[in-house]
Amino acid sequence: MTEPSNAAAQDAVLNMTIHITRKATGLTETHELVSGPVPVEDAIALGATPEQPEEA
Amino acid sequence: MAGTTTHPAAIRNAFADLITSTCSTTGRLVFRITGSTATSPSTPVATLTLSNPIGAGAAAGVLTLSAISSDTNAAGGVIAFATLQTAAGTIACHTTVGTSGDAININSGGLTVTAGDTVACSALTYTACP
Repeated sequence: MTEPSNAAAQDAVLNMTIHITRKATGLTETHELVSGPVPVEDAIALGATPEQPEEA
Repeated sequence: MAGTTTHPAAIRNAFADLITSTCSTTGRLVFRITGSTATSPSTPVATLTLSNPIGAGAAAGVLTLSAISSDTNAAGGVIAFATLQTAAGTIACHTTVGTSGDAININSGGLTVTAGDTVACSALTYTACP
């Protein structure tokens, strides 16, 4: 019997500072962006296997 | 027993540098609308041109991108994803993005970009998995 892994996923992280200058007003906004968790679709595309429900 | 998997700096640097080599000579930072996947990226909101190469070699697993050229005539949309890729569309990195909440803007339009707006990026780092 194997013990299920409960290790947390450890993702790469993208951090960026972006600036949006509104054409209508000329005003510039600054936003600090950070990447979120990897979407399930991406993880599957990269070879991950979705967790299966445990058998009764 | 569950545990934590980590990698030495040399491995993390190699992984981060693979982003640089994959972007090759025509790197782009593309912001995209919702519904994007790595194999089927969604509609671009803004496309920014990266330096060639996109950055110097990674250190301590962190790739810091060199100067990024603005998109002075964005297509528009709500930013939900971002890709680091070649101009031809080969994706090196695909990620969701959200605001970290530490920017202060009065009457902000958030991450909604109107067609014709200018989108710039003054700093970008890619940190490889631990």
